[in-house]
Amino acid sequence: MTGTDLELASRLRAGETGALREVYARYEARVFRFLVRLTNDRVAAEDLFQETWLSVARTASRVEPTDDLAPLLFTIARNKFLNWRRWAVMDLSRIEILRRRPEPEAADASDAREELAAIDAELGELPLAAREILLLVGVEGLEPAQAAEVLGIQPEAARQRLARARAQLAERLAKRGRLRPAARRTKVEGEGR
Amino acid sequence: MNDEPDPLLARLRDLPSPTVDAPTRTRVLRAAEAELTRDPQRVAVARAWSVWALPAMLLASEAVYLADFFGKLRAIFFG
Repeated sequence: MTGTDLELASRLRAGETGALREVYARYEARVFRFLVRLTNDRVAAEDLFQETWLSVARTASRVEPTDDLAPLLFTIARNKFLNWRRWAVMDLSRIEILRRRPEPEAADASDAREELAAIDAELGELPLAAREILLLVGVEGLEPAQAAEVLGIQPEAARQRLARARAQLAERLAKRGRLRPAARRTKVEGEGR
Repeated sequence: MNDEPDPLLARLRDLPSPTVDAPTRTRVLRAAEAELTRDPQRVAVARAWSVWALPAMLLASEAVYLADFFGKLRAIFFG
């Protein structure tokens, strides 16, 4: 049985394991992708992925009725990441992970793939504030208002942050000579997935 | 603002997507299910224990210290 997020939220609140399984099936790929791109480290992302879902299960009884569980799940995942990052700064063995950037893909004959590899690499190089809003709106397709909820800021601040982040990314890509003319426009409204 | 999609943001959606491997996916789901079905009373006791254990220990050691302190004062002035 599959339901809307609203139904799933209420079943989750009631402690139904079936609902948890459905939410997991629906969102695990997106949550994992978000964490891998935030941490730039797959192993750390796997740990945080598990912590995120444990936290979802632990707080299931307090899930508010909502027609979209994505902001809640990304908020939990982001909080796990921020907590991990705070400790990582104090753990010398993890500092290297924080500095690590995703490996750019090997040059490919296809221009489109090269462009994607460049976008991937430059996204990983952006400051955290810019990276997370681009991940939420650009990659995950959240509306700027939903991203604002995840980031704990006002919707207008999220829109401004998105515009700045987009400009930063475009500038970096332009420096690499990797920005297609069509992508130079500055419109920043995110559209739902 | 117009409603045309932003081409750069649209390109972000084409980025390769890392996926969870099957063992991790299963392990995490099992752990989350186990967490969801844990006995709430036991969880409440464990949580209360983790919250109050340290303050209780500090209070106990403080009580021992104060008892010793006043014992020594009594020995000096009334012993």
